[in-house]
Amino acid sequence: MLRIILSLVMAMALAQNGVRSDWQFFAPPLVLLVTLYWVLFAPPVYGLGFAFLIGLLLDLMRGAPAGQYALAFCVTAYLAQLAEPRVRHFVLFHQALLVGLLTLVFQLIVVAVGLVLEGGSLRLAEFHSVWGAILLWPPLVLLLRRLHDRVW
Amino acid sequence: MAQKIFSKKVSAPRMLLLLMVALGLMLTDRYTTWLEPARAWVEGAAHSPSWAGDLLGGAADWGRTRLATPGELAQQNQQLRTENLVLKGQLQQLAELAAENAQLRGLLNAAPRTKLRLLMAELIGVSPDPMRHEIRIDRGSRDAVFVGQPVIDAWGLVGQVVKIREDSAEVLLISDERHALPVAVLGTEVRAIAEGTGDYRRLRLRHVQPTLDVTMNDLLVTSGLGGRFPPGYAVGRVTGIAHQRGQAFMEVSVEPAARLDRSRHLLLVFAEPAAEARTADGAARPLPAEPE
Repeated sequence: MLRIILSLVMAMALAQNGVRSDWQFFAPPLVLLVTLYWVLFAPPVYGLGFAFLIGLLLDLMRGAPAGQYALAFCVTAYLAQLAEPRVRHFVLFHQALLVGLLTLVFQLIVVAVGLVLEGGSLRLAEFHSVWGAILLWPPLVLLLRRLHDRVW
Repeated sequence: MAQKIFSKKVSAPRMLLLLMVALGLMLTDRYTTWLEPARAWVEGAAHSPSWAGDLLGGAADWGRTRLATPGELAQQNQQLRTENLVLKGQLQQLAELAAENAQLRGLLNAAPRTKLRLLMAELIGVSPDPMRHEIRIDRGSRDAVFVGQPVIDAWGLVGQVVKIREDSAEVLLISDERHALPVAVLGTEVRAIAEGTGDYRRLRLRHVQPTLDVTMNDLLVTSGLGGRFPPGYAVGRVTGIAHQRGQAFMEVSVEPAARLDRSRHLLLVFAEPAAEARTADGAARPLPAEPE
């Protein structure tokens, strides 16, 4: 429990500060990845409701319309749960590809809700975070697994 | 089979319930202000991590001043002195121009321009979402910052304050897709609306007729129309004009004058209405219509 909170707080703190550069669109959705890890590998208590709450917290933090991230987190976590029995037996690389797919779904929901509620235009660059997610997943899993098993 | 082997159950009804809750939240947030207290509370709590991030920038600044060699510092000092001298010289000229301008406006019986007061602010955070061009500054309601207040940097207009807290404020940049402001071409006074594009280095003028006098490298300044931004602040330079045959309007690209993605030190603009300049209803006095 404590470890889950710790990892999420760190992810939020890191994600809270944007970086101004041309690579910013490739920044992976860190909080989503950490949440997905716990949904996949922690006891079943950490499921949809858990993901929903994290999403809602992010919504309030970002000053975005409430419910946008909550909805996206919830749907992504649901899909992750559907795939969960298989994911456990995937090698890291396959996991990363699946997580990339989940990130794509997540981004689609976020962008769609944003377009409906706030307007603006659709940009392909918003989906670049999928690549970031695929690249980040293996090291993130190794790190969180150590935290999870309390090796330190 | 899988359901029997693995204990974790996937619950579609719960998912649907949460979807409904999310939709309800969106509607609540859109049409009421009930969620504002929760938002303020969470934002207050979330503030500390962004301070942590700012420490990095602070440390870099500290290192740059403390670890510089005396030679470098002397050189920097010399450079700043020269710059200061030049600026002071220009300021003298400006004072004379201002006096002359006031005199001329007096002759025309036009209302004097409002005086502006500046307050320096420092950047303490940027929005992590690349589609939201918002930054956070270290001045808030404690310093009498208000929503809609113009923010500039040393080079030009940066944006406007959209949200205030006690000791910080959120600034929407002019490059955000949701932002637009009235501008005028310096010299020809052609008016247009400059919209953000979501790209830090590009604004766009929409609905510019091909017959209007807009050319490359024209400087755009705030026109002061709309009453939000005071007139005369640099907005950007025209970098591209595209007109397709048969189209009613041209598309004009503008490069912002302000260093939107680089400035760390910003200035908040306070307008102080000149005391005798306004009539009772706040409008400028009209010109005399006919000589008697």
